[in-house]
Amino acid sequence: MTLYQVIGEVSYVTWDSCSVIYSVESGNTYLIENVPKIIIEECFSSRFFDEIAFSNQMATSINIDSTVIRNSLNSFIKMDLLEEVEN
Amino acid sequence: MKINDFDIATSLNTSGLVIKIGFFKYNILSKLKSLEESIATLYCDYEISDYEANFELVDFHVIVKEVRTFPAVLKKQAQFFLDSTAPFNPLPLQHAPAIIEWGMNWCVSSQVNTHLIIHAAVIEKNGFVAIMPAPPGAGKSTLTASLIQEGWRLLSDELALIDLETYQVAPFPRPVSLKNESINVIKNRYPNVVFGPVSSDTSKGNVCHIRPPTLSVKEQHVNCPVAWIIFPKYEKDAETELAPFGKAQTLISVAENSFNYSVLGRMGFDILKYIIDKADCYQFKYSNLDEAVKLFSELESPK
Repeated sequence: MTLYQVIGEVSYVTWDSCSVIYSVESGNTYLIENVPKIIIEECFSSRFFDEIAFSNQMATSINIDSTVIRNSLNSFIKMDLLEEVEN
Repeated sequence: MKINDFDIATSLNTSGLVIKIGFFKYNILSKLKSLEESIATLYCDYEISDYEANFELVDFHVIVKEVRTFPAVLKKQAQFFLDSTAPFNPLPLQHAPAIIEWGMNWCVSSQVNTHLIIHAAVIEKNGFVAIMPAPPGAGKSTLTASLIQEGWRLLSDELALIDLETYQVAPFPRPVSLKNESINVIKNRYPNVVFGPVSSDTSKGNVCHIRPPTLSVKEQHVNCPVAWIIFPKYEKDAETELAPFGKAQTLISVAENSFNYSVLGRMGFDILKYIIDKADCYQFKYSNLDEAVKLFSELESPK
């Protein structure tokens, strides 16, 4: 799958290796550990997130492993922050 | 007008006694003698007035009265009312001084959404406050009762009220609640502290409140920014230890200790994000109050 949609508005903050994400939609607050800040920024900076494009970009710039990206996305899906829109 | 210049018994018995605490006004009605004594002891530094003589808007109309309810029809009990509704079951009459203190805190924690409210003690030094969130039994009140005798100003023993616009803490300096062994610990350390009556054998054990320092009441309209967020924990025989605590974990823990974080929605998150970003965050373990007081005196204020 490559394309995800952000479910509702999200606010977040990152300190060191931990982030806190607040879902305006659900009112839930999540503690996120060991997810690179750039993944959170890219995921929630616009309405859609293209996994393949992002993975390619990361592979050529700061080299974040695609498994880390996939695990992060799975976490966000479980938190109802993201949903898959295109396979 | 202060309580010493006032016939509080008449006001409590008729239209009510208005007490200003922080930016809240309570109108209190009660015919219970024990409450009259307790209020006279604990609230002598607060601005008070007679409700009828100075007709004014108040935030909370509170009544504590004797009731007899089935099956305890033969036992004298006291019950707390807010706006003529009783949010709690009645308790033994001798617990009336504790009932009103608990009830007055409940009024704010359950009814007010003009501030982000956190279950925490708040003390101030050099214009900056330390917020100390903690669950019951963590030693928060004993530590607070000591620190306010050692130069820190009391903003609250129970509720940190964070202004939604300035993100500063608004004082709510109420009598500090001590339980069980803590009562004698503070009595022995600080003989000049004024204690209210002891309510024995409550659900929390023996409970007693102490009068807030005069200066804390006098400065009850002076808001302050947050410099420290400290999670205290008393542990028998523990070494005194102040350990940095992650800001993300701090945000989650503070949110869990808040009464209305979820009510305020994104505003609540944004406030916590702001104050935690600016604050130093710690977990604090102690068993020795001398060491605790010394360590707090060494906290460095922001530049």
